[in-house]
Amino acid sequence: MLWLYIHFPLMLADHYRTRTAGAPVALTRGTPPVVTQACSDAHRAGVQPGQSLATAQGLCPELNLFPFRERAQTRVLEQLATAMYRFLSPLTLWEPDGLLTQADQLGQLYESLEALTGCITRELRGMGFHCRPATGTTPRMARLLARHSGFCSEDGPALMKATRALPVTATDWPASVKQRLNQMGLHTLGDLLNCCSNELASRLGPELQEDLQRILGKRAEPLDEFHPPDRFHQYAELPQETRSVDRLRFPLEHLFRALEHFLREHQYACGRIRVTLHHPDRPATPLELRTARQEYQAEAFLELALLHLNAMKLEDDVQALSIDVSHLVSRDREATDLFGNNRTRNEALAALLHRLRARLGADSIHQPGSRADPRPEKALRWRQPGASPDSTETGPIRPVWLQQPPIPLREPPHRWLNGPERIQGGWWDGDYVRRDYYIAVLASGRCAWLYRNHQRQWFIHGWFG
Amino acid sequence: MTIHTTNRIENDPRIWRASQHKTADAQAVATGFPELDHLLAASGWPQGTLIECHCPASGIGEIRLFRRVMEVCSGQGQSVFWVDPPHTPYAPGLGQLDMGLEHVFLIRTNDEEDRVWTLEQLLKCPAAGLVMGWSPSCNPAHLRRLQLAAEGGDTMGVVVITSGSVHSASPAPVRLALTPTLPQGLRIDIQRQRGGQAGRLSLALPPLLPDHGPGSEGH
Repeated sequence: MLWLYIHFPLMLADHYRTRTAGAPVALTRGTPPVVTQACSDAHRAGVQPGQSLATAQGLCPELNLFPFRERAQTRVLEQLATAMYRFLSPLTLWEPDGLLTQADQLGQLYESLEALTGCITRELRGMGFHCRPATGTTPRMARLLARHSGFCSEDGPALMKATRALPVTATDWPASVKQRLNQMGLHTLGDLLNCCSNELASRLGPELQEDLQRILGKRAEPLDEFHPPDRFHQYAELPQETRSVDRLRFPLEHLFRALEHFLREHQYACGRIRVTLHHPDRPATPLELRTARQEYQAEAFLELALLHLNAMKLEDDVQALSIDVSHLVSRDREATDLFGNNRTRNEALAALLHRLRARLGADSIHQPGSRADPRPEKALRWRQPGASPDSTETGPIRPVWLQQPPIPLREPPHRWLNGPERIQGGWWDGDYVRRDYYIAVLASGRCAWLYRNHQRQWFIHGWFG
Repeated sequence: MTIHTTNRIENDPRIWRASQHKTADAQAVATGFPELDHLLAASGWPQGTLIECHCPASGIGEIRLFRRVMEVCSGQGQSVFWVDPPHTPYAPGLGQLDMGLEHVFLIRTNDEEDRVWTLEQLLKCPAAGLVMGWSPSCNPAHLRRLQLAAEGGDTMGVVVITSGSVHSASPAPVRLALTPTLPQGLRIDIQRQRGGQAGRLSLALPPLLPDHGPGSEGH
């Protein structure tokens, strides 16, 4: 089996470099702080690991210094793995600064090993990262070669030869062990392998022996396969604080494009996005977007977000935007079925209602429903769309329009059509009603639902449209 | 022989008659009133069209006029939207029409701009069957937008204009004015329609009650 290891010699420095628009970068660590990593430009200017900050800044005045953080390193490695997941699978993260993959599986897709490594190097260079690939018959061999000088070959014996030629100092072993080996006159791995293994184990400890066996493939290497994270988060600082929705449009579109790219690449879709508006000196405003169905296209998200923003009236300047998506579903689940007609109509309706609600407000849309109550004004009940409708029993005829509140009848009707219908009830909740209802055509030609209360006053309570 | 000649001419397939001119590609829904269907160029309320309906007051039969369309839409699983009606739609009364209440949506908007936007969104959506909007006045530019939306979505839109000038220039393909007639009738003025002629019709609305009992007079 052939393994490919990609080593990032200046990973964190390269990462910070992309944020400083090309100015030289160095990382510092410890107290007093010293340089631990310098980007290629800084290196050319003479900045070396181990130098004090004063020396480094003396050598390179425009140097940007960043503190070295292990957490940042891990995040960058994950970010690189996510980006390379397109090319390399199965992929394993190897802390602190390497990625491991199986070259023989990828070999089927590329003409040669050089084509594969060339493609990876180019992609990473485009992202601003230096890398050094190497192959090996075991993961640990590939890693040793990559960290030392980089050596790519498909030929097992050649790889073994290169490994044997590696100095002992290229390993991860503790400095004391390396020093001891040097004192023993064992300078290369080849020297070490020529020795009796039991003798080495007893003198230098079983760990070294295990490590050697892993390099040679005599002992299995446990590997965790990497999968890209199942969530999306991106943060974008605005060039200028603003409270105008028009100015938020472009950065939002940019974020949603990135989301679309992410969803497309992973064949995901999502139905819920959390947009956060960050203000300079106020708590951030969260905004939850829900699409009617699982969506992946930036336009749909953008339209919904703008509708929400236009409706909510920003009260404070916005400094930055971020979007989070944590609930992702795989896209193949939403394949349309053979009888998809009705379903697409329902989806279109749901999307439409979402759009309307985003602009008009959450309770702008209702569906009529009824309740079993003899009092006409209490028999009406509004349902939120989608709630199950109630069965309507056929009773005496009722109007399509309810006049709320009832208005007094001012003129005698032109013609009586029906009545009286006595409606009384409500003694159980203190809102007692006793009315006689009539249907009549008024002189204006309108067909009205009238009632006379027990004080013999006449009111219009509805219209037959 | 005059009769003979007329017959011959009538049977000649090369003759085009103005009365035959119906918008053949336009789908239409029967109004439920045969005499009105006869007057309409599409033999019914045309699909994919905006109908501008001037109606001075509610309760004169404006819902009964479009009742059949609503029933057809809900029967096909399409939705009926009412935007900013002047009164509260009363579910017990609506339930007595032959349509499922789950297909009826009531939308309240805040201002004219929101209303036009809402109507436009609704008309654009093929899931909407009939979209009825009530507006106190009509702006030709707004009606034009709505007409384009209805054409695009192949939906039917009815804009009920409760006041305002009937004679203003309007881009709606069908423009009606309703006037109640006593005791229970409705006069429909078709002021214009695409592919047809203007016309006027007095319609006797179907009685509200199945067994139309004798009106008890003298209250």
